[in-house]
Amino acid sequence: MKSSNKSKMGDFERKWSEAFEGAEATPSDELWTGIHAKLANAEAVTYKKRMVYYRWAAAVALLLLIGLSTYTFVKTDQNEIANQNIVDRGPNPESSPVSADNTGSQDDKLQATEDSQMADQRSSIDDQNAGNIDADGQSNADQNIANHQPIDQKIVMEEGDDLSSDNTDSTTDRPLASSGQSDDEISTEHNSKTVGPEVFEEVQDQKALAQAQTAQAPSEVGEQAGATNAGATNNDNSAVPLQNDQKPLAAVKSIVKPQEDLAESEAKIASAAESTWIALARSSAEVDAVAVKPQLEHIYLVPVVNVYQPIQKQQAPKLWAGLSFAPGSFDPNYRQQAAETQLVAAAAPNAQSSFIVKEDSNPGLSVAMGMDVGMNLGRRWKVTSGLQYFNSSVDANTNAVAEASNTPVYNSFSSYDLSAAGRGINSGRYIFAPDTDLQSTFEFLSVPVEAGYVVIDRKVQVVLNAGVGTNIFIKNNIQDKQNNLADVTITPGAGAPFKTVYFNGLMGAEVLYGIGDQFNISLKPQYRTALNDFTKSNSEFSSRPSAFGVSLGVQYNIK
Amino acid sequence: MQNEDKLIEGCCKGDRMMQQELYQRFSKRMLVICMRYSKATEDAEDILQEAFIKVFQNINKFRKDSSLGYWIKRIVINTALNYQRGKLYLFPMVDIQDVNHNVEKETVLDRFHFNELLEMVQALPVGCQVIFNLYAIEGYPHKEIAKQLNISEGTSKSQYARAKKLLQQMVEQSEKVNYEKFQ
Repeated sequence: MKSSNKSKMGDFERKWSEAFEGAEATPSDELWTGIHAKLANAEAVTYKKRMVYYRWAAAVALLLLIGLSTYTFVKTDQNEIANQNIVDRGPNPESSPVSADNTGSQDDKLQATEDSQMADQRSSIDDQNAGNIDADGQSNADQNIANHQPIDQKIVMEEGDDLSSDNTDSTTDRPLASSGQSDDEISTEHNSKTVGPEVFEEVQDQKALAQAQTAQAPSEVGEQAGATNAGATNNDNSAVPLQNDQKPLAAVKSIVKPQEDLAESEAKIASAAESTWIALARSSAEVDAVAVKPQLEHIYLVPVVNVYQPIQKQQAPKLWAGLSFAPGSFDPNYRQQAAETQLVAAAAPNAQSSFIVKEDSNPGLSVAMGMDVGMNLGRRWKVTSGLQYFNSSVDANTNAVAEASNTPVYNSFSSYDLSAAGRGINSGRYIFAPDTDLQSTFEFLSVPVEAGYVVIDRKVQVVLNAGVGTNIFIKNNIQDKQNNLADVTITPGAGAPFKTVYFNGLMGAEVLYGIGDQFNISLKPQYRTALNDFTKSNSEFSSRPSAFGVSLGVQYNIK
Repeated sequence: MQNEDKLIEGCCKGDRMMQQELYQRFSKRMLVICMRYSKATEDAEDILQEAFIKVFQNINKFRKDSSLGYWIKRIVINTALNYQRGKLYLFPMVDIQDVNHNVEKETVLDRFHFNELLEMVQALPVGCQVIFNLYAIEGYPHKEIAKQLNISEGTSKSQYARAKKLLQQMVEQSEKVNYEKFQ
């Protein structure tokens, strides 16, 4: 009874009102059935109207998916084309074609010069190097190397070895300087320097690289200025100095060498005009980073990060937490900086003098798992964050592998560990190998931050999401699928070619289905692409990974 | 048993179980209201069904400015009025001075079950029945009743007076019959 009229009510009205107060009558069972049927009919009408919208949304999503897949596929093909180089397997280096994919005319000139130099060197050292045996028993291989390409045999060193203390003539010592520098420049630059990761840094010095590139072959593994004929030795294992009319071999960029003082070594090189050496240093335990700074491309994977979204509630902001699991695909999108990577190979007896590194990679599988937290902002908006662990692998193929310094060439592919902390790559040497299938696995932690807009808020929720994810690089492990080579592990550090942190742009949709009041099941397709390079600016290859995945998660509503 | 907030939330999402629970919670009381405004149980159930469909279709508009039960009750009453609107045969306007202002006898309804009282109300003419329910049971003033039914306030008062007189007669008749039975 309305209170406004209550005071005017008489006894009659009050008694009648009280008589019906709280009165109840049970309706028939068919009543609810009729209500249910009419509600279902009304919902069907509404759903039919929404079907048009759903169909258009599905068509757009399908087109988007096809477009993204095509784009990813095309980019992968482009990466493969950029990474593949022509391998020169001809016996006569002069006749061996060297293809410079991306180098300019300057590199072509250098290459021609290298060919002539190599021919000269070969003829001059063949007899000299016959029968030479170095201290660690690598004579045969070294001789073979010398016969075809004299650089490597002198480069084998232990970690910490002074350059002059290797089993070669001091004249073969090569500081990690760019070839093409004058002796004075070399001495100035490397006098009293110790070699190590800082040398690796040094090698990456722009000036040295620029000089190396102008004076040397277009693709290289390492370079060293030297005054002697690369790899050539006299009968007493002393290095054969360059003759006045001799020209240094094709330069390659140097690999990080072990820590040692270069002053003495440089002094021995003073008489050299130009030469290039592959700096294949030592054998050691683990190194931090891939020392193959030169254009040797590595397969570095960026894991897919998938983020999972929370429940959307109509009421005031609510919190939720959840767990998720997401399989997907990952593409590192490698791009080589230089045209090609040429290595002077420590080859088998019948191997060629040089070869060009060929590497390619294909998108692989990524798996992510983690926890998510989120909050609803009103009825339509929500924000999400969390912590995800990603494990992504990429299949790759390469024809250049590194060998530990104390292992004879071709006896076996021994361990080439690139993970020594702070020292970069300074072990073994690179050798040409048959195509080797590798699997490179990346591990990441990711912290995503996303905003979501609720498009449909019924029993099933549909949310559109976008945001930014911070990826923290944990490690990269490279494995030989044939188990001929030991694993290589790359961890974050000064010597790593990868950044410790990079950022991803995230976009996707999410479908939530409520189970009771406390739980939701989430299905979330998501695409992510790197906003900045995953590789460091001084790396000779670049990577901007992208990935697509679908996550399945469970969410718990915290009220 | 869900609290009202959860019921409302579930009904807003179209959860059929929540809707059914809300129906079961309020349907019995609302059916009595529907029966007061109708002549038969079948009509009352039709009104109730239509009212609850309106409740579920518009529950997302419920602003909690009143209790949920009162909100549903208003929907039921409006539905009942719409249902009866075509059947309202109101007596011509009667000057209030012509109404027999008998001294009201004291009404004793304690001995009557509400079903009996319900039958008495259903026996009233349609117009009187509606106005009696709105004024005496729901507590609406005549001015508001007149505005809602699009009649004059005088008509509302006269109709109510008639309903009141008829109900008193029915009550007295029932008391007399019961007394005779007792005898």
